Amino acid sequence: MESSLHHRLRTHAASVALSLLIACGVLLSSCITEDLPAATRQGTFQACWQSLDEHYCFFGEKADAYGLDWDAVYAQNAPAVHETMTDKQLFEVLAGMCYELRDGHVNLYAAHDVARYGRWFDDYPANYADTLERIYLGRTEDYQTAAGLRYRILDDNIGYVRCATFETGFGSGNLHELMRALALCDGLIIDVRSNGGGMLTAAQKLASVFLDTKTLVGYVRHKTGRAHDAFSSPEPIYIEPFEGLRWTKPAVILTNRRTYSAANAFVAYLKGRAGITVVGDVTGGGSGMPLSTELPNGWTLRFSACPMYDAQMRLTEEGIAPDVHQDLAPDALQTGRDDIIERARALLRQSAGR
Amino acid sequence: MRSKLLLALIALAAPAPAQTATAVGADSLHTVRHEQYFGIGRTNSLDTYLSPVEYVGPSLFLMHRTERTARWGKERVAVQATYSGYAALPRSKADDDPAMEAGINAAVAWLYRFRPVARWSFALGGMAEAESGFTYLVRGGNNPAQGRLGLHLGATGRVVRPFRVGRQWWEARAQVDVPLVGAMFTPNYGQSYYEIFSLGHYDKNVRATHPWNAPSARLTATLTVPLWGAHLSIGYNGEARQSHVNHLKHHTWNHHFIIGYVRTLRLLR
Repeated sequence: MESSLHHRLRTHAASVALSLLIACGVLLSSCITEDLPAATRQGTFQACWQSLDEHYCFFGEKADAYGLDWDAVYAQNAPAVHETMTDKQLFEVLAGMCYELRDGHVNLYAAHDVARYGRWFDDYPANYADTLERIYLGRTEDYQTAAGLRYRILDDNIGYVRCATFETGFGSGNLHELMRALALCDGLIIDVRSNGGGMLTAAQKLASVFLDTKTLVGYVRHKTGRAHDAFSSPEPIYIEPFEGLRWTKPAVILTNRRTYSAANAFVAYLKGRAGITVVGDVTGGGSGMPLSTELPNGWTLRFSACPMYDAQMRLTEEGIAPDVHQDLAPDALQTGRDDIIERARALLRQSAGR
Repeated sequence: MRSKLLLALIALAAPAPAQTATAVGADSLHTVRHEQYFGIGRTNSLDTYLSPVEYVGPSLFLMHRTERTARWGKERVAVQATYSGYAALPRSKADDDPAMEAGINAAVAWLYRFRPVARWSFALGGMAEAESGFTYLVRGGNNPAQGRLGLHLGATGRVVRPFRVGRQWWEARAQVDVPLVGAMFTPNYGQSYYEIFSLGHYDKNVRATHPWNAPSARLTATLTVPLWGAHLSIGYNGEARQSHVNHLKHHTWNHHFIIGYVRTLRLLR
């Protein structure tokens, strides 16, 4: 009897020891790590190409648009990388590789420079000048400002709102006061020219002022794996109407080639809605929400990660065409006349029957 | 009700009775063991949602553990509650900007105690735990941080060996906690937090965990010695929290030298 008891106890002890050993064994043999290339020139190049290969979201669209072959880009650039090259030389090679994506959201951040693709606006007229903006807004005391939005009533009773960025959020109180100040205007101009974007939530908040019901304004999806075509199904983006005063009269949105990213999304949310007209130039695009990662040598790489579409499931990465194309006149700075604003004012006066 | 209230006597220096076979144990209904530790060490942090680069740096650690005997189980079952937290400032090899990382953990375990060999006390049981934490990278734009949240059931094993040094009882103790099954929050591979929290889009953001996709464990090994009327405890706490879900890899490896004290609350009815 006693022998049997001791036998059972020894079995218990052995079980405990075995369990602990198994637990430690499982852990030690199961370290989850990432094989990252070394912080050499070659390793940094490899990591840059690989990060984009696994995370960038527009390979399919770029291949269709201009025949982008990412493997060919690797083969083309890899021979240029060697361990004796300087940081700046390596930066040039990596920046050149990034430029092949033709995407303003693909950036390489080093201590000495930021690689940014700019042909989507450099090759086009600016169609915006802050000198002209100052003429229309007037002196500092002539216009009001709320959460970064600068606004005033022009002399033909058209409200003008300059929205230079979506990097700061808008409070409901700000928008309510802005709407109240402009409520008696015959029309409203929202100027998002050279607005480089910021927070999508800020763009949605401003767009909500122009919507009376919960509205489907677009779709978004994301990558679900490393393959170029591994995506989730598109999920709808809805915007609830603003809870305060809303704008129900005609409005014009002013755009140029530097209307980008969240500002591009703002235009996508509202273009085609009743009473909304887009005037100016084609927007810059940038419909891939960017995420960031780090390269072995410490540089930061930013890339488009989550493609966004308009309500008709059209990609707006290459920009959104205006309803009314209008450029600034070549002598705009001499005359002090902003033809895009003037075109918008004319349209709004016409809508008001004046 | 008053009669059920317990009068507590903190016996910091009290040698354990011989029948408990531990220096500062909680082997009867009349004792509660408290352990309090402060630790300093190193954290290795990897989260491929943020970066494929591993961050390594100094970290601080706190742990409080309480153990008492359950009223059921013929005094063979102990109930143990463990609360711990850490904060770290790890850096990548190339970068001067540190990341910020922190985590907390709360666990309750039920341990069946037995002594197959004289002076050796073993315990084996199950545990339930909740853990949360975050990693923040200054350089991130739309993905500056990664949050962690998990609920797990697991196994706990412990061995205690008291021994005499001169006229004093010392105690060596080691405990391993291994989460086995549970659930954790994670974004999908390329999913932004904007999609999850601003738009409310769910895409496999709560995943089941098991030792094959989230092998994790914690080892606490201490030596407790009577010192100047108290019980000083020193040792090592190592913790590996890992996961590989939605094609995203994460690991937090914590190694901490810990120092603290143990006290036994003797309960008098």
